[in-house]
Amino acid sequence: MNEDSVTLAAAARDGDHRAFAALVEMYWLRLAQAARSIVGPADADDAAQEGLINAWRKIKRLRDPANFEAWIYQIVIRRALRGTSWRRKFLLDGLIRGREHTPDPSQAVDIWRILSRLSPRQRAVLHLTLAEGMTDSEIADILGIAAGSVRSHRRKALLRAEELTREDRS
Amino acid sequence: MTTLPSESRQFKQQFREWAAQPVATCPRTAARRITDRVRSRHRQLWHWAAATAAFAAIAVGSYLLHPRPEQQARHHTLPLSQPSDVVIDCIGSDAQVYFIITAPEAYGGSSG
Repeated sequence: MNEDSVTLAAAARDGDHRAFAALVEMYWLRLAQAARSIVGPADADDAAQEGLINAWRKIKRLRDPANFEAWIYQIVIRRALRGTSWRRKFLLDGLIRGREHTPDPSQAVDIWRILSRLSPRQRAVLHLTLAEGMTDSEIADILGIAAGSVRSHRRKALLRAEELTREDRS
Repeated sequence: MTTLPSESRQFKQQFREWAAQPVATCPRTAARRITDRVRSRHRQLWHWAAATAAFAAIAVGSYLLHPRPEQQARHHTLPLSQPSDVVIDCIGSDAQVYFIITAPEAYGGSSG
């Protein structure tokens, strides 16, 4: 995290809307991409937006502005995970997924079709590991689970993803 | 069935490419939308607070203006030595007392 974002995070904590907007601009792409890996392409922007609004409401509780990046990831990713559990609870996931998703013909394997068959937490672990390059303890902090559980989720997710990739090809 | 190392590598690579694709909303638009929603929520909270304060003021005002039980009119019928002649009613609060004198005709009786 650079010095600018630490200063902005401190200003946002003191109630500065513009500083928070600048932070949103800075982190939006990565947070929306993370949300997309968890909730899917159709709901990614809404999930990231809801998470960021939630973050603004809680910003007074940010103890150390230097820790803003991990803090904002935690809020947005946990919000996205809650969103998926709500969808599953009301049995809408299958219906929505069928309606919204059109596979990308440029890809050899339909990644979201595979990801959607993993648990939301497995998807989050895959994203934070493969796309963000975070360590197990960083991921554990974000998801609020043990580092051992992170490894277990990743192993199971990769095995299942490979299995589904083979099915896709055959 | 065992997994070939190349399959795992391939999936990881394809996942990285998929995850790195741009999202639908650009950062500036997202920041503006979020700030607008945060501000409109602030406005909603102010409106809600103002409406609550107005309601509370009306409730307190109506309580203060409404006469309390001890101030409400008391109604007495005074005993008379000759009750067939007239009925004197006394209505009033601590501050004011009204006497209502009703002739027996009003009851359908006869005056003496």
